[in-house]
Amino acid sequence: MTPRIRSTALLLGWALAAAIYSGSGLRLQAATLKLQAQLVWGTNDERSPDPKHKPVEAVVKEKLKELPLKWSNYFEINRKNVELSPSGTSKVELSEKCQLEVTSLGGSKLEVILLGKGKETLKRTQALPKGEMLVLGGNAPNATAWLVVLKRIE
Amino acid sequence: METALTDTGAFTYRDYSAGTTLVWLSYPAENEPDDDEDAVTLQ
Repeated sequence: MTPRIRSTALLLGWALAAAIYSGSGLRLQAATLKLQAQLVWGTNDERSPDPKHKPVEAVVKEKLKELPLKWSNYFEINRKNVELSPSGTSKVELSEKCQLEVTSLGGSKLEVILLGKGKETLKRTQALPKGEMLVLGGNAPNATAWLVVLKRIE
Repeated sequence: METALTDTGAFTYRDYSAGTTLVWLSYPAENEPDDDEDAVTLQ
């Protein structure tokens, strides 16, 4: 191989590597975060007074049981799926008074704003890798609790 | 990295093995996002 051919082959190799690298970068940038937000009611009652409320799925219940919470039963009030484009923001209405605003900050990092009656109640920035769960909660009337469970699906 | 920016009245608990973070807002029940007397009104 002459030096000229060798340098041309080297240049082509670098160009190919750059194309592959930039292509994969574009694919990574275009990745969409898929999240699930649930509004949950925590209680020691066996049943919810509202028959439409279903017990949360077993995986969520197990994770909630591992937390320092005193309630034995958790019922799903509402559930919304969220898809976030890179740097995208999505506002989710979980109830008339409870909204969640989620912003993708790149990678698995998220900014989460909890709005109560339209007013910012909590703002938090954290990584939420796939399979992990962020639980926001507080006291509700009659020694029960409200919880907002945010799960990363993809 | 985790930061809590405006949650001065909040308690944070992290279960690393389960990959779960709990942020508990320590406000009285009447100040919560869903504050009606009847818990059914969480909807």
